[in-house]
Amino acid sequence: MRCAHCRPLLEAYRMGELDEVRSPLVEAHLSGCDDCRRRAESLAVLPVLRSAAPPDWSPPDGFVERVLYAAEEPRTAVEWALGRRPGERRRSEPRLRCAAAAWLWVGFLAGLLAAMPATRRLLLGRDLAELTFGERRLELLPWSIEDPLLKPRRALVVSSPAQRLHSTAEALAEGWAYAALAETLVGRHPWDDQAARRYRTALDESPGEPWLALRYADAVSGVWAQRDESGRSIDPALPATVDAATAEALRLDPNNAVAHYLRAAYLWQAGDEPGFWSALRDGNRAPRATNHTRAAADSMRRLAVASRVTPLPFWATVWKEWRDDAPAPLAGLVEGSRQWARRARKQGSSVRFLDQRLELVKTGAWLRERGESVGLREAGTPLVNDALEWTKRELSWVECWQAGGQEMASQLRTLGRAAEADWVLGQVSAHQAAVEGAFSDIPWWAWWAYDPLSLPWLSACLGLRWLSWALALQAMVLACLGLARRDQWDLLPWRLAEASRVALPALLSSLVLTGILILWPVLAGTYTSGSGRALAVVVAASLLILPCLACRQALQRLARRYDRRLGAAREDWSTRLVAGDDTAACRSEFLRAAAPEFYLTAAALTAAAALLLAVPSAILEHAFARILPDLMAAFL
Amino acid sequence: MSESQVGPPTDDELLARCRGGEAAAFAELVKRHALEVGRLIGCLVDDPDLVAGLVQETFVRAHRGLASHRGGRIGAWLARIAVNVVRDGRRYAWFSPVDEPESAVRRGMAGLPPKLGEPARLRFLAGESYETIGHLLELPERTVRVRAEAALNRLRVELGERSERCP
Repeated sequence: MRCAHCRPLLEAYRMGELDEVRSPLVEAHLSGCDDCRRRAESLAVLPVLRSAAPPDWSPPDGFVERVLYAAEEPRTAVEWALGRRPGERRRSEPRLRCAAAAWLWVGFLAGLLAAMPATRRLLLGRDLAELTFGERRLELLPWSIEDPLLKPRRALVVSSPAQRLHSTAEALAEGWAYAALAETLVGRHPWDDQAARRYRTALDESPGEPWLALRYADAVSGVWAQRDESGRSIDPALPATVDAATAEALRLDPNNAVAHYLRAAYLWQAGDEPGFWSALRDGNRAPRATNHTRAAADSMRRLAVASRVTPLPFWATVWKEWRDDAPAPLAGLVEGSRQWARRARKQGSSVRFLDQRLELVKTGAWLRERGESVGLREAGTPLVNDALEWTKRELSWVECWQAGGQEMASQLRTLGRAAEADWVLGQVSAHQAAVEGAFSDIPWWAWWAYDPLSLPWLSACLGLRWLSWALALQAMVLACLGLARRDQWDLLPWRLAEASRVALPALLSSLVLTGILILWPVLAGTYTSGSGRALAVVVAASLLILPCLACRQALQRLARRYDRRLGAAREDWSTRLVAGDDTAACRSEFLRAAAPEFYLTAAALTAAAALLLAVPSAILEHAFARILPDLMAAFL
Repeated sequence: MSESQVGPPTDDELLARCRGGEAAAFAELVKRHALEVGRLIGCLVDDPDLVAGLVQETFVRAHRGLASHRGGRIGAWLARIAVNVVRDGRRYAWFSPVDEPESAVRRGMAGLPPKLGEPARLRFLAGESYETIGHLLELPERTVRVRAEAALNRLRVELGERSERCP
């Protein structure tokens, strides 16, 4: 015999299962093969194991009769003591579990379906609400997660759909928004025309004065931007005037870097790109060029190359502001324009765009402040007029109701222009009333249907709440049963084990569902940031899973302890049952052997589980409304 | 007259009579297979006091499932029912393991997870073949071998350590 033949037989050899033919062959091989002998010795534990086999079982007296009795009953003694058959629990468990999961998923799917645009149109026959402000058209959607279990709120924070915002952002990034910044400062300045004439007159009276020439160029460049509604330049001869003005300023002071930069801006605007680069180089090489002016010129160059648009009035104001010995605002202005241009290229989602909208508002306010300081110092309050125009335009965006309208009204009142302040506030009220009016005829159910989050969220919250209520109700029912029907006490461990088995998958499924609901808007890239919702998922998981697991473990441990007491008397009952004892007497004896205190402990545990579930569900319900918005506002 | 008519009835014949509602036939089946089922259950549980109840439960289930028997050896069918009864008892806490089995081997067996303990008990205590165990546990024979070997390695360590502690 070879090793390959011997080794598969070693186990059977050690267990004494080999026949008389193969056993001697294996023994002979082992005597001559050290490797196989070591393997056989490693199996020396097998005879020990085999010796531990229980002795042959012999049925007790009357066993067959007991089996027949139980089969005909048809209950075994254990089942008789338990009052039911083992299969009953296993049949009911999937039904409860499926019902709980189905209820949650139906709510989720209903919410998902209701949130789809096609469903919304089908329900309402139109979009929810639309507002038109000038050229802009806003589709208003309710967006409220505040206390979804009470009633839907009419959110004043409205936004157009993500796709529309995205396309609008792309359209605005290179054009309107950038121009709005420039126009906010120097666009449509009626005083520029007057100032240009004044500076021209002063220059004529004092020829060779560099700063007058530069002021004249600034003013002319401001007039450049004046356009009527058709977009036509008011004065077609202005480019030549600017050219002459900047040339004259350079002739008078060739070392003035600002004059070079201003001419560069003019040349770019006029389409003379080689001249632009030449003037830019001349400005950087000018003896009076500083790091500030070079940085600003570099910013101008970047913006010009990136957006192909360099509004001359904007840069005229930039240089003018620098010339007014305000390097810090100049640096801030340049940095702001850089940031804006950088962000404009990163238009990604509505969230980002909204952030940029807010940034735009902030930047606009900052620029307005800068412009106001310059304008007030130089020419009274003309820039306030421009800011007023800007505010009129921006009032269509709800963010500006507060940031723009209120601030502007405050400024106007400070300047003693109460009538215009009232007008601004009136515009704010009018727009607010328009939005409220657009929302007023929306049926109540449409708020849920239109809100992409509230209905599924509502379902998840209700699911958690009802589940906790169900557990509490079960505890009460068990208490009533235990008090009213003492013969049902023995059912408690299995009922509780069943409840824990049913509750845990339902809770886990609802937890997953809640996570999907929370992350869904984030994944869809709409409306809100995802960090707060991800935090809510983690919090919910920690709040829900741990109490459930602890409760389940406690219930099962309790059930096992109870079952030991039951098992101690089971055999005796079975015997007495066969012997013809009175069934009621056997039950009574069983109940006396059982642990009465088990019921109270189990009911308390169930009530605690219900409480532990109710508290996190309540926290989750109000998390978005009360906690997370504050946290997000604080950190984001 | 054929030989089968004069000899004792076969299991299949008894089964057919049981399906016809004859209690005596079922009693005869119980008498024939109770020892075999009891020996199997005795290897699967550590508490010998539980064996009678579980054997009884096995035959009660068999009686309820007479219609579900689709041929084959009655003993194998009953053995599978017995394994399921023991599993259900363990799963639904009909019985709990005894606190500390007296035998060192039983203690080692009790410490094994059910996935390893069942093949080990059936192989090393009951002496069933791997093929039979695979049929009872509804597992491939190779899987049963691997699990039994893993259980054996654990038991070897367990018994070796115990013997070192308690020579």
